Amino acid sequence: MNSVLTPTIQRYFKPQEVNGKGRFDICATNGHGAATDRAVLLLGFDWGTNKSCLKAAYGGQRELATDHVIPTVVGYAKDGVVDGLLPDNASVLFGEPAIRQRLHLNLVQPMVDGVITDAAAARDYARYLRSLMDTSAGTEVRAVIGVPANASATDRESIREAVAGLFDRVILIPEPFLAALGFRDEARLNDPNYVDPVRNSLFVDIGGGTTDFCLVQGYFPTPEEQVSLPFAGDKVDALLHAAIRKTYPDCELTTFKVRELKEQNAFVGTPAAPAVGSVMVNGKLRRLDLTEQLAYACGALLEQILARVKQLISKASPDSVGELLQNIILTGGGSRIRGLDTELQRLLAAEGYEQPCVRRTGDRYQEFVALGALKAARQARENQWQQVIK
Amino acid sequence: MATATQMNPSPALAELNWQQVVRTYRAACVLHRQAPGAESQRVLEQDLAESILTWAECDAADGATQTQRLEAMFQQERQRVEDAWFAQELMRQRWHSELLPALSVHIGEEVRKAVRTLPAARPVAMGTARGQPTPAPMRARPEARPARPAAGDIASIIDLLLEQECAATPHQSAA
Repeated sequence: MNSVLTPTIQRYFKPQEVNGKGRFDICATNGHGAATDRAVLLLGFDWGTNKSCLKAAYGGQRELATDHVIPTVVGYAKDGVVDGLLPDNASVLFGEPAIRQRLHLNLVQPMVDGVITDAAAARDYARYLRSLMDTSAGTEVRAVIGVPANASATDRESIREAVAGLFDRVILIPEPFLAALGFRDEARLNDPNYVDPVRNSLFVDIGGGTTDFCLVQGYFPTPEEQVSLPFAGDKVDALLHAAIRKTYPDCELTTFKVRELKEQNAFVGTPAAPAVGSVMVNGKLRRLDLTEQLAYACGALLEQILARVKQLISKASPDSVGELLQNIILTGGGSRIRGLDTELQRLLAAEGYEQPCVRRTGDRYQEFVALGALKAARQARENQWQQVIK
Repeated sequence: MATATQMNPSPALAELNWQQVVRTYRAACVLHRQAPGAESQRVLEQDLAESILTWAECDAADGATQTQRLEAMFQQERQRVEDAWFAQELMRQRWHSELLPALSVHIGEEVRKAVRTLPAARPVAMGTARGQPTPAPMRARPEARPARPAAGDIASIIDLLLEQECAATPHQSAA
């Protein structure tokens, strides 16, 4: 194929091909109405550091065509792996299968702190996600992708690079706002008992790489009102790992084991019972009391969250603070830390904030960014989509 | 549609159409530099596409030659826009680092001179001293602030994000 466009231009303009007769076939779109007769799959994509969520639906349809939550990890087969050991003799696995087969794989996390750090793995992962979408030939995939609020131009470009040629068009939107948008239940807006979360609330989305804060008071938040803090689940893991090793130097811990211990036992405040986890020590399984270590690691996260919440409350209009304090919402994987809501509420009250109310979004904590992204995809204008072509 | 060979095209017409391709692409590069958003994309996708088609149909050269000519023009125009932007950036920096401070100092001196020639300010009214309410200072009119889209107005939010991204990356290449 002879592309007449330089690589950079190609990213915004479909390559034209010379058909040998002096004619160019140009895939043109227009800025109004449908740009294409192709079927359009709209995708809400939360590309998380540890887990990614995909929600896709065809244009004009309510039901989801694709709905996945997948660990953001790529496993490349180690040299010399025996034939037949890996499923389908695969040389690369993704998500849960990769974690299950980690003994035989070099696991790579494409992202750290919410931004791509391994472009090749990110590209492979995006290609895998694309393969999960059962689309007919010629379907155009348009993705709204969540990015950390403080993502740099380079970070954004890395995301576009990773999905170029896999998704046809993209729009990047800050994750904190998408979480709030995803949590909003439009069907209940006329319900007098429903509190619209984008009217006056403070969202705290605790992920693996970043904790995203979003002060939303009826309007799209300013950059100061949505903050991505690079202190989240992974940092808690690192602190917990170090604390356990300090107390039990002989124990054998992997990143995945530490995460598992955290997910099973994490808490803040006063635990109802000692937090005990099973850990290998010198080849033997031992049950260790991890209460102190978990309190230290999770407490550090709580401290960071409290500081940022206070900072954002101080930015809110004095007239709105009372209502705002009633709507502090925790979501993301970190929101499952036991006691995080009640302890944050207690600490805010202890600092003199009037009757704060902190609540969690519940079991769908992993989905809100992708849900918000899909909502945004459905409402984006035709000419707002950016073409990304490899 | 008739092919270029059947039409036996005039070289002059082909050249005119070529100039249109060049102008359109240059406009797209400039637009993208100013705001990499919908308008530059529209020019790339619609106007440029149409002008290339028009030119290609009346140009006698074969497809490969046309491709090369387009490639060369794209590079040349991008470089021209890049150079122009670089010169503008140098000017802008000089304006901020040298000309603007000097102008500010000059204006400040003129204002101070003017203030010295004014009569002394009037004493504070007794009413205020007795604790009567002081009129609130005039606030900036809301219209003067940059508009913030409503949280549910996704299209406007995306417009804003595109503008912000454009403003944050003024040195990005024309594409």
